[in-house]
Amino acid sequence: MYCLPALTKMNEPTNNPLQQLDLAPYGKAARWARFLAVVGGLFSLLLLVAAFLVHRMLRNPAELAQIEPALPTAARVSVWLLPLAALINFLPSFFLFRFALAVQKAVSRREQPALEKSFRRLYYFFLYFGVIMLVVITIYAILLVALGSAALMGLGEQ
Amino acid sequence: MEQNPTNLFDLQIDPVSNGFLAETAKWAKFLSIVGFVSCGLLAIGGLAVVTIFGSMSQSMGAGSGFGAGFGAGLSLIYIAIAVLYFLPCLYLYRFATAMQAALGVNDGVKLQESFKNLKSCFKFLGILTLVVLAIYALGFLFGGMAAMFSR
Repeated sequence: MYCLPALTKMNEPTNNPLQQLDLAPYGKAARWARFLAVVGGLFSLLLLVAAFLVHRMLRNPAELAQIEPALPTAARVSVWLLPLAALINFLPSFFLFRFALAVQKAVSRREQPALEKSFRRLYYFFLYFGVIMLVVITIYAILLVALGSAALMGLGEQ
Repeated sequence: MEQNPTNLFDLQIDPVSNGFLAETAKWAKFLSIVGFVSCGLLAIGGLAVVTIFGSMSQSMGAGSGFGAGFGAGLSLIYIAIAVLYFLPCLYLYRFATAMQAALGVNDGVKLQESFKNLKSCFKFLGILTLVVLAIYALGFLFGGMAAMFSR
């Protein structure tokens, strides 16, 4: 493993292996990734603010129940679900932001370790979404099986 | 067996980085295929909605054109979402396949191609996010103005 020195002169003959690879598309990908990560982070923050507001509303559950009897229960569930959603949304944004930082460092300073770090962070980002997707598919499959068996049992009783 | 860093496309990528890129491509391919299936399901859902609302309005008889119109509108929204969702999945799939090809035969051109598709995927999602944010901003603006004028 080695660290390449920063090279800026375009016409300078060099043995720098990174100099031969056009990293521009990778750098542009990182720029958009950073934007998406920032928006994702802000969205997580909004979810946390919403959870805080719902928590404050729960100080007076009787008032909420006057509007709709099921509202206090919904608010109690939301107080737990909203921070969970914020965390689930924050993690990929965090990986994406760190990926973007590593790519920027790799592109601007042409540093080999930064490039390798960026590959690792990109992997974590896709791994996270892949696992989340598997969990979602499993939940759907369980729901389908449960609904199917409930429908079959209902038909059997009739 | 000793693993030497592979000299890919004149860029030193050690076996660890190579492994990360290969795994990234695998997960990206999985996500894109799930995305394609979801797009297909959305499109089928859109067609089902227009059929269901159409038959409902037919069974209700005259004067229920609203149901058919609502069904057609909902169907259009479903199909539009499917089209919007299809494009990033396509870029992601191209990224994954090009990356796997690049790592398989040490092809620098394929690596460039995979990075270009990754950029296109992120760019598409970024522009879509900007459009959604703009729609939200306009919604807040018009909502606020409507609230002010209604007082």
